[in-house]
Amino acid sequence: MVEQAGMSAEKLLQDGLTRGDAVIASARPVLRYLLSNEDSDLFTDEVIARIRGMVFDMADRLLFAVAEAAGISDRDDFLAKHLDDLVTSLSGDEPLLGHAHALALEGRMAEALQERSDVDAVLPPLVQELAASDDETVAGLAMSYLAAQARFMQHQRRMELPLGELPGDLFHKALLILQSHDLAEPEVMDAAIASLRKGFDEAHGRLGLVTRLVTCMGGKLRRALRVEQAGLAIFATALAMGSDQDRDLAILALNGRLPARLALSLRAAGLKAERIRAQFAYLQPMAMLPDGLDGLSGKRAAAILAEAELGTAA
Amino acid sequence: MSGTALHIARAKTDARDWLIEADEPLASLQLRIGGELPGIVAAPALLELVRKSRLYGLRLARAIRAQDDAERVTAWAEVAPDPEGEGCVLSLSNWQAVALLQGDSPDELEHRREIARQLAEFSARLGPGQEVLSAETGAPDLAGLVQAMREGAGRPWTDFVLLEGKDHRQPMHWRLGGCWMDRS
Repeated sequence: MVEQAGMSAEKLLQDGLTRGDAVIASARPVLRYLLSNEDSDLFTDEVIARIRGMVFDMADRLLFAVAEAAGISDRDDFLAKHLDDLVTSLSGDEPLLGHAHALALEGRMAEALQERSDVDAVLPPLVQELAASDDETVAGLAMSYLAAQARFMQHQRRMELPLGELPGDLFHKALLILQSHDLAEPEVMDAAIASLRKGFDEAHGRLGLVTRLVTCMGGKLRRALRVEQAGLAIFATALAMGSDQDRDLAILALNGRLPARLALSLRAAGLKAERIRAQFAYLQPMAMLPDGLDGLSGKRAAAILAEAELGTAA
Repeated sequence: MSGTALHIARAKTDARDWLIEADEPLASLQLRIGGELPGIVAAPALLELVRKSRLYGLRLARAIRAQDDAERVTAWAEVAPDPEGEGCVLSLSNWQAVALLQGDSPDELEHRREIARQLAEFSARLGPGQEVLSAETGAPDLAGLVQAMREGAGRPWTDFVLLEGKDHRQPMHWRLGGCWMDRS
């Protein structure tokens, strides 16, 4: 028995050491990044605070569903008891965290574009036109998108991330993480998860609506790639679809002074060098446009992006 | 902004992700890219969506892309677990087909094909029914495959390799193939 207790104490220490070492190992690259990219927009205090707020909000909403299924009267107490653990698990999921990061950057950049260039985050010219379209489907879709985008800007200010706004894969992951926590009787957990599943419809989230809007733009598709006309949300979706990238990755490329990925993405989406220059003036006014874009075909730009390590990981 | 946004093609899949019912234009796309009806969903992006919707038990919606020899198709696809079956119900709209040569000069296509041929360790010529006509390799560990294909010329290429998934009916179009081969 004594030996067994000794073994398990040793195991605990070993596990603790592994976790601690992982923190130490990641500390230096993070520090190096922060020191050498002083002017980067990717990790401002505001962005970090928004990500943290969104993760807490997701955990809150997941716990709320469990408390509801369990018929718990003192929900605040239940939430307080489990919130930190669930937040830790959700933060440990890289794709989920990456998505929250992209949303924080998108929200911040949409505000910046509004201040700097007067690009309306909710009702840019293209959305006004689509909402007045003769085609009822398109007009209705534009109105739904507009409402979803207005909610998104509000959520960002409040640092919230409703679960229905997650892409399907990430929503599924969030449910798996919730399920891995023993918060209630198995039947209660199952009921909570079933009710969350039932309420989810990817087509009705903002990202679903904006994607669908872009697929039915027809002849106006080219204008979706002009951020001053389409607004940031539609522009980012059109850019991601046109350059065959994950939308979150496209958002990252818009921030953080990463001119090479942005220039290649715009080229891959079919923009000529002259128009890329115009878009840079809005998106990264301080950045230097990489040389040699004129000589690079759209297909080649797409191929370079596809070969890049990040593209395949995403 | 034509009537394409309004037209909705509906379809159904079963527990194996086979397309068991499909409206046009999905039905003909399924056949054009080498699938069958009924048969496993042939467009990889749509198959992924259907499979995830079934496994996750979630209503999913994405823009999907599919491609045959002549054109690239994009569509908005909404997929939901079928309340009355074990598969999913699909609805596709905003169907847009773009001829592949548009924006992609013939020279550029040929150029890329040449590079692919130059870099390939193994190449085979297939007939219209996906049957093997000839096979070449420079790699010693693929000599066995070439030998087998030459002896079995006329049979579908899928006879000689291990395919991802088991439900494909032969002969499958070579573009769809993710496969392994025995390198011994």
